Amino acid sequence: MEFFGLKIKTAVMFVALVLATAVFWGPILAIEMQSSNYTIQSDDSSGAGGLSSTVNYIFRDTLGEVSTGRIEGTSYKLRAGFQEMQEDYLTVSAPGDIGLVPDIPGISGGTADGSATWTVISDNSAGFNMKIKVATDPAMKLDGSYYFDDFTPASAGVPDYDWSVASNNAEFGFTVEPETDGDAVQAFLDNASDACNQSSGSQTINKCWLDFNGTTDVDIIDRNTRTGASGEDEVIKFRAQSNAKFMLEGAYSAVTTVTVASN
Amino acid sequence: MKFPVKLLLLCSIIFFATPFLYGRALAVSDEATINLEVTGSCNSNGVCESALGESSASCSADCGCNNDGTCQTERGENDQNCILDCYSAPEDGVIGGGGGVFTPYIQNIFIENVTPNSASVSWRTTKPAFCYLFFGETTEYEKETTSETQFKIDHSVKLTSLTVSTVYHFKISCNDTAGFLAETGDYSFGTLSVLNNVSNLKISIGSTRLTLTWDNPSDLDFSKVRILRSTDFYPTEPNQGKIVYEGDGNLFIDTNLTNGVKYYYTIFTYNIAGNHSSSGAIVSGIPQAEPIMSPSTIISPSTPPAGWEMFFGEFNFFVEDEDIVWVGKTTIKTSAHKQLLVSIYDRQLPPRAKTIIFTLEKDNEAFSFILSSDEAKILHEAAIPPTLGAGNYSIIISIFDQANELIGETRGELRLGRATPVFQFRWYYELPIYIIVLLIAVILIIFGLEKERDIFDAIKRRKTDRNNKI
Repeated sequence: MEFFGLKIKTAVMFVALVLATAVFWGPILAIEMQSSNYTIQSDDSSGAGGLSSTVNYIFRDTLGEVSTGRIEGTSYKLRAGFQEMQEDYLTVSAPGDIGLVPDIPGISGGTADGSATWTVISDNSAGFNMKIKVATDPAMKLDGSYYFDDFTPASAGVPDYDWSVASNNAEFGFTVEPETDGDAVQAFLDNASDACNQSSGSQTINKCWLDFNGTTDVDIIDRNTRTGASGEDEVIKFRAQSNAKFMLEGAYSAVTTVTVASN
Repeated sequence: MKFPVKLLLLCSIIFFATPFLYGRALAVSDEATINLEVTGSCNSNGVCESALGESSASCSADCGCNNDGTCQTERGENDQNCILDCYSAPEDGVIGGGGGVFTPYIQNIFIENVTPNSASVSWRTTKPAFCYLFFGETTEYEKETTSETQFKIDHSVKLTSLTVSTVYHFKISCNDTAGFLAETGDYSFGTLSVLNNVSNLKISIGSTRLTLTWDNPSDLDFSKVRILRSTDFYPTEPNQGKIVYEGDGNLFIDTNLTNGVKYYYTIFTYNIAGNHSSSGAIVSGIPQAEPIMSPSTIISPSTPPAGWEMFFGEFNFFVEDEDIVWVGKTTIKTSAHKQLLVSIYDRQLPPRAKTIIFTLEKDNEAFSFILSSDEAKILHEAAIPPTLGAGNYSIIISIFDQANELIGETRGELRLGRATPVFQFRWYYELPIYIIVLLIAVILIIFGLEKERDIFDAIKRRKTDRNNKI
């Protein structure tokens, strides 16, 4: 006797394993607690369940709650019930177009700067990561003949502490300045002196410039905690410079896309 | 019982992958476009910003002279590059009302294209103006010419029907649209002389003597030649050096000379009116015991110093009733047996220049002529006699300073072709012939008519006789 093409025994074992998986991982992934060692992601005010604690932890749990939906105000967001809490909430804003200023004279050259803020809201306790990519390689172009080369750091993939463009060159790059300094990936952390890519570094304004990696994502932020209700304002700064390289006049542009994923 | 290995493997994958798939979210922002404007090195703000790459060539909106009547230093205008806006006329250069930058000012006066019978005068005014040019043979300016019919800045007028080898004076007077007046002082120039030089001048050398031979010009008004001698350099005027010969001959033997000393000779021609040629034919020689025959003197004894360059094209060549064709920058073509006038403006010569010598070389023969300055000291000219036959001649033009040191030299080529016969009506030759032909025609017609009448009469008589017989 077969069940969906499988023998009964086999089918029974499959179902058993799936259930075991759900039973094993479900509580672990769904419930979070906090003390010095734990975090409780959510709690409820119903009579069932309750607060349990030891020296090492405080445990609030509940039982048999139903999902009661979401309520949002200008200053709060409420997801009532455990079932709602099991959904990972992640949003990223769209900053609109960015204009680099000032205009760059086509003959003598110059430097233009601009920035944009992406606001990320994530309730994932493990935080999120952010990547950026551009639509073309090189990124900042007028057409096939006239473009800004992608910034060329001294070491590929490692940001330069200071922005510098050689004579008769024109380059375009970026740096990231997250709302929480430590959220920047290591590459954008510096020693406040002359080097980036410092494992225990900090963030210095307008330092650590990197090039885009063509149409491939570049890691820029890795946050390991949830954000507040208003999210985190992640600032990305862009810079273009022509060091006396002749650039045909016109409207140059680069199209960028930011991707945020929960950790 | 067979153990379901495959199933166990599948379930294990699901089991261990679950935590990575469980609750993971992804958000992608809308595309954001980063815009950058690259300007054409001109921001059109009325300020010339060289630091931004703006220049009068690339950013005329911000840089350079715009001739709007206002001197704008922020545009880079000054009295050198923007005269109309920034020039302040000197008081002594202005006659009439106005003053300051509002009064027109006359400048850049050039006298060009001087021929035996014409010359062009050009000038510029600092404002659009209507100008008169007064000219004449004296500073009374007995003639007047109106140069234009509208207000403008660049002016030019061609003076024609001038007399050969004559000094003319002129002045310019301009009114701008507001009625302000500007007037120049006296200027002058001289028309070219067509009095030919002697040709085929040669010198033969003997002991304590030099023999000069030449061909006199075939001009009907030729009167005589004057030969001047100097041991310093070629005399450039008929009153320089020592007059050693005057007459209409074509041979002169200079005797009692010192062997080893170089003697310089210049021969000027005179017409019956007493005018002399504006330039002279030159030759030099050193008497010595061993007699030799020299066609002439090669003028360039040394190499001109470096640092001063002279261009063949700066010299003007003129042949009456004939075109001068330039082949490249150093070759001219015209017809043989035509008088060739060579000239150069004094302003084109280096300040130290004193003597300009024009030399023609062909087949180891060389004939040299001095370019003498006209009375107005504007033009240096020489008349090359029309005795040169067809062929190619090398031209060497040498410039000497006050110390008779060579300071400049340029070379070119003269190609003389056979002259094309051109029918030209000369009334003094052809008119009597025409009158004679006309008279003959009239006589023949009258004679013919008389004959015809005789014939008619004979026919009439014959008819009458026949009728009478009948």
